[in-house]
Amino acid sequence: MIRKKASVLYAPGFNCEEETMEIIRLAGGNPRLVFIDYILSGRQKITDCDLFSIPGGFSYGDHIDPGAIVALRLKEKFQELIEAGIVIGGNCNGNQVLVQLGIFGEKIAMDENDSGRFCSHPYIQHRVQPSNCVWTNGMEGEIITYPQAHRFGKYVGDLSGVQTVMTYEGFSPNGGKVAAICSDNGRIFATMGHPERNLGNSLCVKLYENALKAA
Amino acid sequence: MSTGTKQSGNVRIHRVVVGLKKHRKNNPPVYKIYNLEMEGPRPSDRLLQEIFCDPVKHQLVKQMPQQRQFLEHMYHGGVVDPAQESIKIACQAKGIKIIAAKISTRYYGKAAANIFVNPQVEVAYRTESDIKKIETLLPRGKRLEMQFFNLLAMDDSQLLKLSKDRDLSLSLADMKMLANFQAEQRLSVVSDTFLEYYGCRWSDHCKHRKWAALGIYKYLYDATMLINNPNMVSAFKDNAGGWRFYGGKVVAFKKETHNSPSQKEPFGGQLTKLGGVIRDLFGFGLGAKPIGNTELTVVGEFDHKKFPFLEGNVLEPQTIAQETIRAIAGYGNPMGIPMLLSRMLSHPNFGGKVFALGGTIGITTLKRALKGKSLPGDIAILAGGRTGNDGIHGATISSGEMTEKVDTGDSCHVQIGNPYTEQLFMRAIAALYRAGCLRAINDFGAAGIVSAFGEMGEDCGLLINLAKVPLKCAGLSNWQIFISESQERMAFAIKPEKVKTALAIFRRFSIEATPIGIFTNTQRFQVIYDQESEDFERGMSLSGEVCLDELFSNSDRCPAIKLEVVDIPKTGIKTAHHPDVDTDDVEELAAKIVAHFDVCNQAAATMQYDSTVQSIHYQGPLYGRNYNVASSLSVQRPVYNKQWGLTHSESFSPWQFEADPVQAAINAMVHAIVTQLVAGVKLRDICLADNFYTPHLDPHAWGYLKKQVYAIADLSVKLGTPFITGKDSSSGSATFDNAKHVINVLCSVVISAMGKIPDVRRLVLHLWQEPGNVLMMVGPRAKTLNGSILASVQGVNGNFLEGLSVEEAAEWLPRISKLARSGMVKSAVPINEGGAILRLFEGVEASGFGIDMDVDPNLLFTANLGGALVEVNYSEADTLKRKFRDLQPIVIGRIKENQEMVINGKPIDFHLLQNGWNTTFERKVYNK
Repeated sequence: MIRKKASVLYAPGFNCEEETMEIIRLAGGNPRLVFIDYILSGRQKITDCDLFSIPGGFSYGDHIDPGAIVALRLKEKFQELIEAGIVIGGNCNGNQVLVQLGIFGEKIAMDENDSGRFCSHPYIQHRVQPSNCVWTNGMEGEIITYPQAHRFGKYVGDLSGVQTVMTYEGFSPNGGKVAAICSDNGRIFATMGHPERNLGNSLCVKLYENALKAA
Repeated sequence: MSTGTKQSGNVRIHRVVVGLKKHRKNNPPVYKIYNLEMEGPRPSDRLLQEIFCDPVKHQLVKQMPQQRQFLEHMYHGGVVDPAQESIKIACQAKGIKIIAAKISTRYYGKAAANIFVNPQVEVAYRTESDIKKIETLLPRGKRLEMQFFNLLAMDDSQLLKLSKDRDLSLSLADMKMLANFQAEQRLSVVSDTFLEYYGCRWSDHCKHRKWAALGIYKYLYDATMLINNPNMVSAFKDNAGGWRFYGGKVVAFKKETHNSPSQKEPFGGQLTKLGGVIRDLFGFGLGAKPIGNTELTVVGEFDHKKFPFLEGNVLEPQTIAQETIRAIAGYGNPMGIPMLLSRMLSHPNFGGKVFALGGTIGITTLKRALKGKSLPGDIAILAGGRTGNDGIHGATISSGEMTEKVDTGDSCHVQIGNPYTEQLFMRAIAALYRAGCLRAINDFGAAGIVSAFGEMGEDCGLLINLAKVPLKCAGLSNWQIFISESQERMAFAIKPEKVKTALAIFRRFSIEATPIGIFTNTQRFQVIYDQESEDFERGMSLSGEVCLDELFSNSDRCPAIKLEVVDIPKTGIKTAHHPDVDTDDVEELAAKIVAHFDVCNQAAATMQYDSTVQSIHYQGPLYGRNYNVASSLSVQRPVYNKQWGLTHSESFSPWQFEADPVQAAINAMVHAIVTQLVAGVKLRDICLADNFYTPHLDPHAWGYLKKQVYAIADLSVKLGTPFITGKDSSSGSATFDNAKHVINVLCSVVISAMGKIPDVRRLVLHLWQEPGNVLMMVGPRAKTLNGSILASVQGVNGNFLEGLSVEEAAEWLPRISKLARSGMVKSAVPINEGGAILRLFEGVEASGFGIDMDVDPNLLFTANLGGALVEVNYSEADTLKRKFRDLQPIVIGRIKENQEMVINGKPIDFHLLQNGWNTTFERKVYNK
């Protein structure tokens, strides 16, 4: 069986690329690292994959706004990905990049947690909501447990036009209710959490299996 | 707003002010200002908005409030803002070229009053006119010419004055030896670089001269060699200790203090504490991947009860605590290294100088675990952050006492940590190894190039050209370039045929890397400054300014120092007597214990540290139903798809060291090991780290230190658990008011243990399993309160500690190991300073179950001497008593379904205990 190709983005400051590649492997994909500078210089092609994943971390030190600099640099290239209909996922800092890119419209943003503090918690529960998201296909109603670790993780703004894919069940690390969102066509998925940090959880792996299947 | 401070020529500073569109409730407006130094006019608002504003949250502010008091702070002139490079990249994406950038933050009104601005690294502006005076954001500095000194013409007082004036921390004997070198080489003068070189090489930080003088380094090292544990890969020779793991892997660990900088500038000091020890793992063998951090900080007394003169003379412990948490989160999280264990303690004797200890564990392969050796012809490549005037004199300052003198102005010895840069090495070093480029690696610790490249070159020879070193400051003297340290720089010996490949790999990971020298066969450390010189070739001759040309072997001629070991005073025995505890007293005493700062709920700090990154966590720094109880043991599965477990524990109780430093050292070691054993780790699979902190102005300190080392070394031999890494800080005294007041830290040692288990599922952790099961206490019990939390709560302490002797401990620990692996134990936790009552409370809080106790309440409050609280099936309690009689098992009570605590039929108000336990930390640290 040919394993589908998954590109995991590397920009300075990302720090979850290894576990992201591992969960893609567990889900049956064939991951490789792609470098932001190589994409911009044309040495690596952004669309040369079936799945494009943006991992967590602190890209460019989060020195302006989390995810902002990757979004600034990749804005044009990213359009190629979207036009090619490639399945995309962003976790944590990856989620912030996708929001900064305006994938979910210009009316939402990621704000600081209500506590004003970074919150790391391994056992956050996420309830899958009905949506057309290809990542959670067939998982509606399930509760998936995976870690959260962020300081700017609360979706704010006008969320009425955005599909909610997961909500927090019980404790919310940032005070918000929404835990994951997706694009209108269901192919671009973003969560502030880290399903890739719960490799032993079959539901977390299933998210990626679904994504690869849809790719 | 375009305030555009005028610059020379066409270069200007443009201030881009960003504010929130909607301010948080009760929060006055705060403005983030991007100060951009660039040529030409201010870019359009549209472009600036795109770069610096999220359209939902932010807006460009045309005019900040006027005629109101404000405070605006940013890094001072000598410091490069760590955000500068990112801002440059962001601006470049929109076609804007920036020369320099700094972020400042402006607060108004009451909010400004609560902002901590540390003059060591920051500057506070309160008027617009002051801001307009900023001429440049680039660090300024005048490159001073090399200075020369004729040591042979100096008398003793002049030699000492020279050492003092230059912060060399060299003694008269040292200076005379340097004069001797001058004479031997028939030099008319020696350079400032020469002096700084020996100041670093002979510092206590690099040479451990005090330990050498006491003969204790050899004692500990010999003990480790004598044990000859087959798991040991390396000990005391590399940046970290190496321990054989499974599947051809090696785990390495290292802990290091950063006490003086963390007292002076806690954010920067703690930031670089962690950065420094992480860097040690990068430089272990041919590179290890850091997989876990640990954090322990002991601050002074929050209310200065014991040392009231400290008020106003030191940073408040509350500030240090807040800044510590901010720093550990600020560095550890971006690095992508999970937090394993974290704790903050408070004791009056750390009010003059904090105890700031950080640790990192790394993993590599057996092949890569061996230290590389550079060969003549290899190219010396400097990679990472640029060299600046921060991080200067780290080695020599750490060898001196903390006084008002330790303030070096613009060239601060506190480095400006930048995890963003250090993190780039995480993948790059592995790629360099895979590409076959590496001959050797070293970290850029205290003493900069002197130690980083010097240590790699001492077996063959080395030529460095300082003119090739990329600088972030306009003008640094040769000696400053030579000794500036950083956790964001690494030193590499690259095979000559692989230099191009290596430079390409560095570029791929956005790391600036520059060849700055060549390894030679001269046995000499040669340092030049020559801007004209192009490439490095074998046999090249010295050119330009010759800053240093010394035989490496000369640094071994460091004069021995003499330390007076004063016998430990024999005073009358002082005992903190145990009160006769009645069942009715339990609630009140328990409430006091669990609310003690050292053992209270510190999740408010711990949850700020990422503990799950890398996806290898099994039990992190917290556990339990509410994820708020501190773990004694961290457990990781560092290799994907394998159940191989890596365990870590750490022990230090200041109250025990206050009572009896030597017995406390044994107790700490026993506790760190018992924590592993009760979980099921075997003795032979455990290795240890020692981190000493000694008050050098305490006349008895060296006596205690010697006895402490002898005790733990002897015990390690008897148990077969070797110390494989350690570090000593022998400058634990702080003086105030011209030495009128001296505060000595306690004669301390933190003992850490690292263990392994082939299958994590075999581990027995502290989470009560089932109502109806019996809780039993095993191990000898203390009869006094000396060294206990209850004694601390009551403001008393004794001057001796009960505990196991080395011989007793050696007999006791294998027994408890046998119990842990008997299959009877369902959950287990060691008992230490808070006594059994603390563990029982934590058990209830973590599990959600309750406990019905039927026990003499006196047994619940003393510190336990290497014992544990274990859970067994009701049906097996008698078997345990019979089979393990020598463990002195006592039934405490039974686990019950409902979350409550009952002792001898009397309920304890669990919510009262919870309230105290939950609120202490937030109240003391965050005023909440």
